[in-house]
Amino acid sequence: MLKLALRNILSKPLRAAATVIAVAVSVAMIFAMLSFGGAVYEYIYSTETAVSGNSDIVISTNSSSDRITQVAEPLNNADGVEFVCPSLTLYALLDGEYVQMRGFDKGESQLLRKFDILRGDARALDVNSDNIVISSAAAERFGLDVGSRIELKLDRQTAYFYVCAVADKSGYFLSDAPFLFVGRIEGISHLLANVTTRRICNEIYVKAAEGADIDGLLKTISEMDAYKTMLIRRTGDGGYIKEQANSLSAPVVLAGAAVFMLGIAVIVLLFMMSEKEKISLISKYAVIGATRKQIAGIFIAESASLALLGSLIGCGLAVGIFVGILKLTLSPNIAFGISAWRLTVAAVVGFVSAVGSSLLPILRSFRGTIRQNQLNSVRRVRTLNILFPVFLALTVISVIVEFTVAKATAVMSVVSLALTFAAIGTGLPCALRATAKPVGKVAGPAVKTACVNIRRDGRFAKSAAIMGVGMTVAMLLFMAWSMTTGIFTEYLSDFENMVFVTNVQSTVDASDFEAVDGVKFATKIVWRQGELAGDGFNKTMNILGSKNALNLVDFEFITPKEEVLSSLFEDKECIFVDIALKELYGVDKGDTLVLTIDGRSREFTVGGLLKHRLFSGNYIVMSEKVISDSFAVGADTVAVIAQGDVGNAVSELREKFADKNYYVVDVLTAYKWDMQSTNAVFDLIGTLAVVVTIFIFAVTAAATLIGRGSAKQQRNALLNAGMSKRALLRSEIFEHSVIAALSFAISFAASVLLTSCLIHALRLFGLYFEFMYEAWVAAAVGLAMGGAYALMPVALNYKKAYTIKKA
Amino acid sequence: MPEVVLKAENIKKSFLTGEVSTEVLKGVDFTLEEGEFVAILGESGSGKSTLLYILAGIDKPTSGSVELLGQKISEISDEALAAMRRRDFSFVYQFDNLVPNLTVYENVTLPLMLDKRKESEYKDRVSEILEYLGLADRQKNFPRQLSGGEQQRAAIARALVTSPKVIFLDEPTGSLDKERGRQVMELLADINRNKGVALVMVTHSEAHAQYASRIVRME
Repeated sequence: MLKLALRNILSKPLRAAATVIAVAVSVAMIFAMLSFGGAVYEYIYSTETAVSGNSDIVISTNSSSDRITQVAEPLNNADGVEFVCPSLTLYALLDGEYVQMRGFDKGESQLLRKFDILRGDARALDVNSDNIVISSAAAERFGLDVGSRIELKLDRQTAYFYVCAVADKSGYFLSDAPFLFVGRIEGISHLLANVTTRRICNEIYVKAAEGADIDGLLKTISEMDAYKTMLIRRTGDGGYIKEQANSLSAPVVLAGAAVFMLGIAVIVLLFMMSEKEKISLISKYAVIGATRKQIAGIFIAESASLALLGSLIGCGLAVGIFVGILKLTLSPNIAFGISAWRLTVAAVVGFVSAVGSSLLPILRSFRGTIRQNQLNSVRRVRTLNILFPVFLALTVISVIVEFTVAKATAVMSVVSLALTFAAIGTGLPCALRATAKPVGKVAGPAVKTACVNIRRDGRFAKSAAIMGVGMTVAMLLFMAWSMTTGIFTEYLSDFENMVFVTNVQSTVDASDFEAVDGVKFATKIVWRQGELAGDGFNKTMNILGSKNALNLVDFEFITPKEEVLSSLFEDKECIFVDIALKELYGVDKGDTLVLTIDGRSREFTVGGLLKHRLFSGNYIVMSEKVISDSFAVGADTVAVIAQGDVGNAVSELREKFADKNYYVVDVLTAYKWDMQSTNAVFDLIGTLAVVVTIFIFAVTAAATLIGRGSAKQQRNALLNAGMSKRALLRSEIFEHSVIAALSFAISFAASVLLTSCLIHALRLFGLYFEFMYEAWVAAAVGLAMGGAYALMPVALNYKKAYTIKKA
Repeated sequence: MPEVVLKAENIKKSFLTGEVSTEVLKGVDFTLEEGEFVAILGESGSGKSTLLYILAGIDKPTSGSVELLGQKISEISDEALAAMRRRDFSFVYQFDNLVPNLTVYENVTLPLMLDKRKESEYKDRVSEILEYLGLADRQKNFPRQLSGGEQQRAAIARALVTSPKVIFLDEPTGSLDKERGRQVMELLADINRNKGVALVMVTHSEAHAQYASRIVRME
C-alpha cells in the first residue's frame, strides 16, 4: 500500500510539495497562534517585573522622598529569607532629561536580575562606586560609550559618573524608560544633599527561601519595628501585573483561536481539492479488485506521508515563526519558552485534519458504483445547501441571544463568532453558484465557460471558502491593530498640556504650583492602586483621588455631571466608576463595593457612573479627602495644566522646586515610557496581521493551484474545441474575480458583526469596549487580498501553459 | 454440457436526468457459458455498455438479477466481489485503464499484489503474458510512454494475469486504428481459443463482432 501511496505522491511532485508546504505553514500558524497569548503574557510580566526581578517582597517608603537608613540588617537573619537586596532609586537630570539612577550594594547589582553586556565590563561596578552601566538605547541617545564621563544633577547636587559597560535590552533594562543607569548606592547617594550616611536606600527587595510562606513572611516583616511605617507588598505576582498581562494578551489569544480554526479548515479543504481525481483513481483500483480497506489504505498512507512530513517541517517552521516574530516585535532578549505540548498539539491537529479529510473522497466514492466513480457521477448530497441555512439560522439565534441576554453576552459572542465563520465558509460556495447561474446566461463564451465551471466544479467552492474565511480573519486582525493603536493615540490630545509632579508631600499647597510661570491650573491628587471587589469580581484599579480629576480629563458623564461634581466637592463617601463595570458585572449607582488599599478594606457606595474609552474601566474617581480619611494616604502627586508650551512649564517647575526633590514630567513623556511594552504588543498584533494575511493568501493560492491541476484535461478540451488562449485566460480571470468579489462582499459585511462579537468576547477577559469599526481598514485589506487573487492568472502567467497536450 | 458462468434475468436500468427518467434497458436476459466469446453489438445509446457494466458488477441494475459464477451479484459482499475481480473475472475499458503513475509491469501485477501474492509465484507467468502480448520490452514504461494499442494490450495483460474465467471488454478496439484493432481482436480470439477464457465484448463494429462465437444485438 505504501508503495502505491508513494507512487501517487511522486507522480505529482509539485502538488505534493504544495500540500506539504501548506500543511507545514498551517501547523506553524496553529502553534504560533496557540503560543502568542502566553508569550505576550510572559513578555508583559517580564517587563513589569524588570525592576523587582526574582524577589518576592518589596519594602518601600511611604513617600519616595523618604529614605531607609536601617537598610537590610534586621532582615538578614529572619526565618524564611533567602536574601535581601537594598536598592536606591533616584531620578536625576542628564542634559536636562530625566534618567533613572538605580544603585545596589557592592556585588549585588545583578542579584535580582541578570543583564547582558554588549560592551565593557559590569564587574567594574564593584571596583569604583562612581561606575555605572547604561543601556545601549541610552548610549545612543546621549552619545555615550564605555569610558564616557557624565554629569548628573539632582536638586542642586551634581555628581560625576563613568560608564563602565553598555547593556543590552535585558534584565532591569527591559524597563528602560526613562533611561536606566545602574550603579552603586554609595556612588548614587552623592546626588542627595544632607545625607549623613551612604548606607541608605528607598527599597529593600526580599527573596523568600524555597518553600517559605510568603504571606507569613509579609506579616513578620510588617510587624518588625524597622519597617512598621513602610509599605510592604508582594512583587511579581501582583494582581495588577497579571491583569495588565492578561488584558494585553487577550486580543492575541482571540486572534489565535480564529487562526487555529482557519488552519484546520485550510488543511481539510486542501486535501479535498483533488477529490475528483482521487475518486477516478479509486474506480481504477476497484475495478481490478482492490477492497475498500485496500483503497482506504492507499489514500490514508498517501495523506499520512504528506501530513507527517508537513507536520514535521511545520514544527521547525513554527519555532522559527514564533521566535522570529516575538524577537522582532517584543524583545530580542527574552527567552520565550517553546512549549512541547503546544508543538505536539499543533502537529497532531495538522496531521489528524489532513488524514481525516483525505477520507472524505474515499467515503464519497463508497457511496457510488465503480461506474459512477469512473464517470464522477455519484449523486452528490448538496451538503452546503443544508449546512448554510442551518449555520445562518443558528448564527441569527446566537446573535439575538448575545445582544438581548446581558449575562450571556460574553459566552454567546464566542458561539456567534464560530457560527458566523461557519456560515461564511458554507455560504460563500452557495453564493458563488447562485451568482454564476444568472451571469452565465447572459455572458459571452469566456465568462459563460467560467460560470459553468464555477457551478459544477467543487474546487471553486473550496477556494472561495478558504478565501472568504481567511479574508475575514485578516480584516479583523488589521482592524484590531488599527483600533488598539488608534484608541491610545486619539486620546493623546487630552493630555498634551498636562504635567505630573510626583514625590510631593501631602501637605503641599497646589496654589504654589499655580504661581509658577506657564502653569494655568494645579490640583493635588492621590494616585494609587487598589483592589475593588463586588459581586463576582475583584479587580485592580487605578484610584484617582481628586475633586478636580473630572476637570483634568475629558470624562463622559453617565450619571448627571452636576450630581457627580456635587458629591465630589461635598466629600461624600462614595466612589465613581466606569460604565464598563456595569456592562461587565452589573455594577450600578447605589451598589456597595469593597475597596482595598495597602491591605486596608472599606465599603463604598457607587455614587455614579462615568465613561472613558482609553481607561476602559480600570479606574475609580473619589474625593481626595475621602481616600485620605479612609486609608490614611495623602496626596502624592500634583497634576498641573500648562499654559502654552508644556516643555517650558516642566522646566519652570523643575527650577522652582529644585530643592524639593520633586519628580516633574509631562504626561505624554510619562505615557510614552509607560506605553513601551504596550506598543510592542500592538506591533506584534500588526505583524501577526501581516503574517496571517500572507499565510491566507499563500494557502488560497496553493489550494487554487492544486485544484487547477486536476482541470488540465478540461482546459485541453476547451482549447481543442477552438477556445482562444486569450478567452481561456479571461475565463480563468473571471473565475478568480468572482471568488474575490464575493469573498470581499461577504467578509466585509460579516466583519461588522464579527467585530461586535470580538468586542463582546473580550468581556471574558474582564475587558469592556464599546463597538468600534474601521470600515476603511476592512475595505483596504479585502480589496488588496481580493485584487491580488483576481490577478493571479496574470501574475502566474497561466497562459504560458495553454498548449494542447496528448489526452 | 458447458457450465453457465454468467446469467442475467430481466435486467432493467433507467437513468434520472433532472426530473426525466430514461429507461435504457427494458428487461434484458443474458447467459454466458464457460469458454464462450459473446459480442454485444449495437448502436450508440442502445445500452450495450450499460448492460456490460451491470453484468460485471460495476454498475447496479434498477431491477433484475445477475448471477456470476453461481452467485447473485446483489448478494455478494463488497469484499467478496473485490476478491472475485482479482481472481475470477476482469474488465477492460475502451481506454484509460491503467494507473498513470505505475509502470506497465506494476499495472499488470497490481491485482496480484492486491491479492497479496508473492512476486516469485507470478513473475514467470507475467513475463510469459507480456511476451505473448508483445510488451516484454515495455514493462518498465509508464502508460503515457505507450501508444494507444500498447496501452490496450497492457490492459488486456492485466486482465489475463489473474487467469480469470471471464473477461469483460468495453469496446476494446474503440480507440485504436483499423490495423491495431484487428491485432487486438485476433489476440482476444486467441486468448479465448487457447486459454479457454470466456469473453463478453461490447462493440459497434460488425467486423470485430465476427471474431465472437455468438453475437447479441441490441437496439
